[in-house]
Amino acid sequence: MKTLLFVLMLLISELALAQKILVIVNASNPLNSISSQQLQDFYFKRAKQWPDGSALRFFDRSEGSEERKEFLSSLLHRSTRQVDHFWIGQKLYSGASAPSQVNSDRMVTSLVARFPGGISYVSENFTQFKGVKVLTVTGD
Amino acid sequence: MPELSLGIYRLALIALSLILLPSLTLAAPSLESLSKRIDELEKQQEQLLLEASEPRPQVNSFLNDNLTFGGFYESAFYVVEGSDTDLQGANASNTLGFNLAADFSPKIRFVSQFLTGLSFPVMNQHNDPKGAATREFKTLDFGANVSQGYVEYSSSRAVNIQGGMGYVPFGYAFQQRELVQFVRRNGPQILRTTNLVAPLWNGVHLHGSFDQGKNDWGYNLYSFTPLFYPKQPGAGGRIWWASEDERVVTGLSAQTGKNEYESFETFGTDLRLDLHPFILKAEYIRQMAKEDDPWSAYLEPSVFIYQEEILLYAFGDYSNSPQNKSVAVAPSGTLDPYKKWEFGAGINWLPTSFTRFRLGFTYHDYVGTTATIDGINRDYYSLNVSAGVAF
Repeated sequence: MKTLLFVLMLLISELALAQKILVIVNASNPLNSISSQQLQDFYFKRAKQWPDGSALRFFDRSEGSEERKEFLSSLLHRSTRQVDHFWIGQKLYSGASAPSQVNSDRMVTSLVARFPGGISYVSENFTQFKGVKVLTVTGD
Repeated sequence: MPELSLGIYRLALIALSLILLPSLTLAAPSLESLSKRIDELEKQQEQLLLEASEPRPQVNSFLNDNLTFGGFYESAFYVVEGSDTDLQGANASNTLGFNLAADFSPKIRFVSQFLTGLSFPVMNQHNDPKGAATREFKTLDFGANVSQGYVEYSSSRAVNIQGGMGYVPFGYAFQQRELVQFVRRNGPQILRTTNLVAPLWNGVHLHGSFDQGKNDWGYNLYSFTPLFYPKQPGAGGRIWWASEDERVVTGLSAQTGKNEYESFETFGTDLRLDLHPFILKAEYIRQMAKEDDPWSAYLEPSVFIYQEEILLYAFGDYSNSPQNKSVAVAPSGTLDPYKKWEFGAGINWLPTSFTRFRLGFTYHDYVGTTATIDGINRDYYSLNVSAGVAF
């Protein structure tokens, strides 16, 4: 019984730690959903413009933050080390640099709200979406 | 007595309150000011980021996101020994690379790379008896050159055109030539097999990619200047396919041009499996020649362990280089053909994503008609220790 309780507690704590991520864009952005493939293209700068041709700016979260780890693993399916090595290669080969990194949910929301082509992500618990909207991430 | 004790307790409580109260009243405004200060700092940082993120028509400062400055440095110590090679070691290479890129608009950018190095290369590397001396580290060598420099116009993801010169998109290794990026020292023999592939495109390079469901397709078309017949440009191309999340990337590459002896066609295929933490790279390149075809192939499995701080690797790597000319094999320009296997393994320690220390071992096994020359066994082993950083 004790073992069962211990396992249950472990599971509950794991679930509590599993933080979901919300993808946000500027409120004026006409899109309501984004595919995981598009998200990868935007993050890795394979596409630098929105479908309507407007400039796109991806704001990443700080190195080592839980939000970044979760975003990279759950939505980009890569580890932080894989992504770091990708950007080293890009910088040396094609001069492309990684997206700017921002510290907090509040700051990143504020930046996306002020930049019409902005896109980023916040933790699921964040609630202050002034000037931004949440996109649904689809599988294809 | 109890009443007296109670009185003392009360007095003590009053004294404590008198001491703590001012500090508590002081703490409240200091927390408030701290919170304000954090808000101010966040606003300042936000402003800086906004300024750095705004696209501008011209390059202004290094703080601007539109100008990228980076590079790498690698230093390696190399030890060799063989049946006809004395045990010896030297700081074989020190290479510094600088990269500068600038976005002039969302569609136009400039990319450049400058390399400089100082080394003590191995002379008569393949131990040809025609050489003045046996295989050994000898004189100091240094050099500097522009390795990439092009202007790119991006019409869309599918159509990008570059003018200038850059690393040739032939297979995998030729696109990942930077030393810090290789899993093992100097990368595969494909890069060192003479006359196999022109390493730089020059002139025009057209490239692009397309989504097809969860997969990607891409292409490259370019012109290049053959190293040994520069008066007639060559042409090359590549098509590649990547699965979802780039777990499998594979491609076909080709070049056609002219060298000092004849026209040539070179074909290659490459495969990269990234089943993180396991990675497998394999490549095969063959040049169609009138007589002995130069060709090379390798297989290189690697695995990340210990929270991705350690990268272990092993490899088998073959090269047939009938047109090789080795440094210090007299007379100058004499052919020094070889067929060689390289087998090895090693460990990379990556304390951060941008720093790397490496220890590697390679056994160089000459085979076929080139296994011995005049009874001299050419096999040897090498050990390398190196440190690299990207910034």
